[in-house]
Order: sequence, then structure tokens, then C-alpha cells
Amino acid sequence: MLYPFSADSRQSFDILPPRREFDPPKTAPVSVHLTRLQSLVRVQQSLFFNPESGSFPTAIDWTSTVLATHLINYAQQTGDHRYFSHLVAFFHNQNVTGLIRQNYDDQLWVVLTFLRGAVYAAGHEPEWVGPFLERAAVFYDLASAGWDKRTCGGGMVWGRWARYKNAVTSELFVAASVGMYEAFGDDGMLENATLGWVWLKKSGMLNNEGLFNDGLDNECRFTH
Amino acid sequence: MGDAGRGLSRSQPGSRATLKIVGCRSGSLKITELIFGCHQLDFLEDMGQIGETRDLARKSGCGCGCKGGTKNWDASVSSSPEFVQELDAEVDRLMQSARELKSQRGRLYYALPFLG
Repeated sequence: MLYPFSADSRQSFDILPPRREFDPPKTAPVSVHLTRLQSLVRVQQSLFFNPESGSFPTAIDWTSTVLATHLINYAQQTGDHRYFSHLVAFFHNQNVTGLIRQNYDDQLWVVLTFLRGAVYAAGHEPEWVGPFLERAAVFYDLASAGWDKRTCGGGMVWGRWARYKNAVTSELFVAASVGMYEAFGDDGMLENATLGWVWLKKSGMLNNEGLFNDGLDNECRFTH
Repeated sequence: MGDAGRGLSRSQPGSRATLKIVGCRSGSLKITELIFGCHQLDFLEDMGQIGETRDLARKSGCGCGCKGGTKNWDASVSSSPEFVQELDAEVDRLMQSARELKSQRGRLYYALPFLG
């Protein structure tokens, strides 16, 4: 175990869910959007998820974990708990050994999935908080190796074998660090988040529309 | 404060976990194409040579629409000691603010109770 989880502490896990609210167009009532959302999730989980293998067979590893995050967000938002067994099956069958060898952005998507999963589990299935947080912590530790001070003053490289500084990976690192800090309270994680954000702002990748242009090569030049 | 010891030390692999990334020492796996997000990257990599500093990722143009300003794309970002010092100073300032906020208002976010 990476962290001192205990059954008692899981019961009092108190990360609050994001305060997101539906803001649908006024032309359709919220109930219509909710029905559409339920239909989309039903399709996703009935046609694209295999409960026996615990996987989305037509997706690759990082898109699979993003789909799982969508499922968690759906459950959190609607209170529809029927797919939790799918999440557990996904957890058990996630391609961990493959993801360990994949790029840092793939690994950070996993972190975000199980941070969200832990928040949801805390309110519904608290025995899963520990395992989900442990999965998040393992991949956060792996991905943290991607912060590279050798060029451009910092930034996340896309992967161990692709040395350019990738905007999405850097953004994911900030988001994951904030989430990890919220979960574990380690000031080092807050410092990671702060450093990542400060570097991103100063990297020059942030354009005048508030969007990030990807990315920087070994000589800190934009790659497009 | 220099960049040595900045940030990541407490969260890097090995510092609190036993997991370490193990590189491939041999083998002949070829990855000819890898789709990442909306960027298509072409790889042709001999796994046995991984570990060298070669940059094998080659971006194949702007597949995402390229919204926003592009004037920076010919620019080179500074990696000078002054730039690093600037980063460190900003991080120190923000961390100090966070510490003050924490001391005034208790927990900043929602730390797990058992972590104290």
C-alpha cells in the first residue's frame, strides 16, 4: 500500500464534487437533456462496454479511461448508480501493465479517472475509495517523472521517448496535481500544480484567445 | 531558490513508492503509427534503442483546427537562468499565499482527515 488507507478513514473521505450545473439552451427543458444524457450513457455502456472483460473493446487505453470518467461524472451528476459495477469491472481489468509503458498523458488521464471515482465512491461505495486513490497515486507517481527541467525551464514531455513539451500533458499534470493535493493534502502536489501552471502561463503556448498552442520542441520552439 | 529541489521531489517515483519505470532493454517492437488526440504522430522506433535522447515524434500539421493566435509559433521560449528564476519567484509567491490562506482558513481544500 502506498498510503495509510484504513476502512475507517474511507468512511470520512470528504472531497466535494465539482459544483457543475446544467445550463441547457432554454428551448428544451432540463428533463429533455437528462433523457438524452441517459440514452447516451445507456448506448455507451450497452454497446461499447463489455462487462465480462471490463473494457471498452473498440477504445484504446487512454480513451477507455476517459469514457470511464464520463461514466463517473454521469453517475455523480444524476445519482444513477446502476453502472457502478461496470466501473469496478473496468478498474479490475484496466490495462495497467500496458499503461505503465505508455505516455505521460495516458497515465494522467487514469489519475483523473480514479480521483473522480474516489469522490463518487466516497458517497456511495466507500470501500472503493482506497483502491481508486491508490490507482490514482501509482499513475501520478509514474507521470510525475515527465516534468523536465532540462529544456525550456520546465514542462511535461509527452512521453519518455518523445521529448517535446506537450501542452495537453502539462495541462493534465496541473489538473492531476490539484486533484491529488485535494485528496492527499501533500504540499508537494500543490507545488507541482503551481509550478505547472506558472510554467504553462509563461511558456508562450497560451495564445491570445486563452487557448494553448501545442507544443515546444527540444530547442523550445513551437512545433507547428 | 534554484530549480533544484523545486516541486516534484516529493512526488517522483521512488520517493514514496517502490514502483520504478523499467525501460525496454531489447526487443524489436515496431510502432508505426500512434494516434494521440487529434494529432497523428509517426513513429518508427526500435525499442532496443530507446533511452537515447532522439526526438522521434514528428507532428504532422495542425489537425485540431488551430484556433487562436499563431504568431508565437515561430518563437523560441526562453530557458535561461533568468527565466527559471522568474518561475521560481512566482511559484514561491503563490505557495506563500497558499500557506497564508491555509493558516487563516484551515484546510485549503478537502484533505483526507487521516492525513492530519
